[in-house]
Amino acid sequence: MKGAGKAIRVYGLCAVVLLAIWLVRAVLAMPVEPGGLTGVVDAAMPQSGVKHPVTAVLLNFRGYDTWLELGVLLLAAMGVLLFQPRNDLTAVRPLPPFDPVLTRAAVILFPFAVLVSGYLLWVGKYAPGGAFQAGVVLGSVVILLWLTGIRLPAPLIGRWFAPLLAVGFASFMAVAAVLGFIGREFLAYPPEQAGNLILLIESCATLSIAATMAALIVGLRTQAQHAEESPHG
Amino acid sequence: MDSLILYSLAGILLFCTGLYGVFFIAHLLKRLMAMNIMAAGVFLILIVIARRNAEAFPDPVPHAMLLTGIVVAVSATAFACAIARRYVDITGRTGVDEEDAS
Repeated sequence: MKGAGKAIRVYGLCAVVLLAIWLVRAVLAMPVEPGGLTGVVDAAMPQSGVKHPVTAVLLNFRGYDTWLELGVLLLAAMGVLLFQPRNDLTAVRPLPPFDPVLTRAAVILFPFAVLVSGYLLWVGKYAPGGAFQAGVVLGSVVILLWLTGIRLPAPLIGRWFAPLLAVGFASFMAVAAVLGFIGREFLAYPPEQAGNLILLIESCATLSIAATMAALIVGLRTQAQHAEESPHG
Repeated sequence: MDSLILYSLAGILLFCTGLYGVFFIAHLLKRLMAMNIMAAGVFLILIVIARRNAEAFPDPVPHAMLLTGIVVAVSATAFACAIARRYVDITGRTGVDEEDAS
């Protein structure tokens, strides 16, 4: 039994090494395509409503991908919350405060993190930034507050939590539906409104991403708490 | 150009290390980490592709794919952690293999 397992491991190692050699050959033989899709993106930039190519691809040219990505986030948060007694964070007890310096620092940091998050959201139009970076900063400060034992506002983690999780995905869908009604193709923004639509979607997505990050981390920790208290429940 | 090849090779190394781990490590958390190491290798290669095709700016399409990939990897990892935690609670084992359930 043990010997057979070892043999399989050796075969597996050989297979992985062979795959590595093959991949190295493939990467070395990969032709350089000068520009790739840079030229295509550059030519379409005036219609995108933003100034930064990555944001244009993410929110406009390949908006469909980003929409479904927000769907993946929503599904992951729902999946983690499924293992909870409740489908929001009201069952979560804040951790006992263990470090007064950290608590104070988190309170001082909170407004700055909100500011940085807003800035990142806004700057995505011109430079690297956007909903994902902004959402992660916002989500991390929420997690930091929770780690220091501060109780988060009840409506925010209770009644409004599920809407917060879903608003990013929903805003994309709403924009797509409205565009459909005025006779445009799926998620094809009118160029003169594209900037505003992208900002709207990104603002909603920031809230969703922050809520999802909080749900994932806090949810996992709460699951562990419950398991420790009732090992067979 | 040479440094780009070095990055590609590092990406392949990470990918293959992770791949081996995904198949042959029984411990659930370590297996999840192997999955993420594998993903990091793919991300590195995508960055190299964006860079080597750069003209006025690096190719934004691989960058956008990469951003999507990171988010999906993070959320998939969190969901897998939740499932793994539940598996540990129910079975009391940390691995999928009876031999390595320690």
